[in-house]
Amino acid sequence: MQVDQARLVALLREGNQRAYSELVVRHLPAIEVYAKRIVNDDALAQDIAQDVMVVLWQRSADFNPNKARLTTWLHRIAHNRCIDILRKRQREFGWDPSESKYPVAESDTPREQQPIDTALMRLPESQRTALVLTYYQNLSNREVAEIMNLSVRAVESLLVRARGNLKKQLETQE
Amino acid sequence: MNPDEKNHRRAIDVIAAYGAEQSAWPEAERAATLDALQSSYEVRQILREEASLDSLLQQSARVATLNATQVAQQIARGLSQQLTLSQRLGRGLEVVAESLSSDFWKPTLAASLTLSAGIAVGSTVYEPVEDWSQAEQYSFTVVGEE
Repeated sequence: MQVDQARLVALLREGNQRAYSELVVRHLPAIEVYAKRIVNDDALAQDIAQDVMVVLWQRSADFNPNKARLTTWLHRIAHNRCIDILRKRQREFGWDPSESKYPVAESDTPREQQPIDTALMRLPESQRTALVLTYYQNLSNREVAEIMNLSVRAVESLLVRARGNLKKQLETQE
Repeated sequence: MNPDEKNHRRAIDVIAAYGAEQSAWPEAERAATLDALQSSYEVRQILREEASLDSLLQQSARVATLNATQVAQQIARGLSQQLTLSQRLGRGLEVVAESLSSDFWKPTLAASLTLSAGIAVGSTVYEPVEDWSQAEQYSFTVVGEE
């Protein structure tokens, strides 16, 4: 029988390790995939996902179940970690954000990428984040707005631009 | 702009932002967007374009490869070791607290309080002399009086 998530969170706050393990099993895969789509580096994404799960244990008292879903809270932590890492890389590589393209380190992920993956990675970070959270992570526009600390309108505007940019890029690739 | 035109524009915006899948549209706007779809060729055309992009987005496959159960166990084990350390520290503090509850610390506390009070009074009453020429004059006056 699956224990209700609110009950698991309550148990976690009491330091119950079994509840913690159950929550990790439920949330780690989504956070790992999210980080992979944002940082485009599998090993790094796995580190980020595990960091987020450590935060879940250490700061579960900060999570308010009346204010947000646990997945939204975890995605927000993951989002902040990803942004920190991307900005650090930006400094290290001397990458100019106005070019709206990330230095895609191909050696990081030696796997065959679909044209859509390349196009996604070439989107500006905020557009990619909005699209990934909405389309792949199935979060609502309000949740995405909360994670990105933006208004719902701003998120929608990012989504429209992201989809428009993807179409243009894919047309060029053809 | 009349209400129909407004709904029509909004339906286009919704589809352009969230794609062709109805389940991805904001719940509160789903019915109005469907209505606009039925009544407008332009909206249907945009839906078709976005459906093509959706099918391309589906080709991007990223999968989770971490073993969640194992990760949970590893983190829990690591954190329980931290817990043991914090428990040890807690135990250390308990020992200090227990020793404070006995009588031997009272003279030590009295002495340290006196010392602290002395330092506090000294640091507030003492005013450093900024103008040393006046200080010299004062000392001469005192000598002259003798």
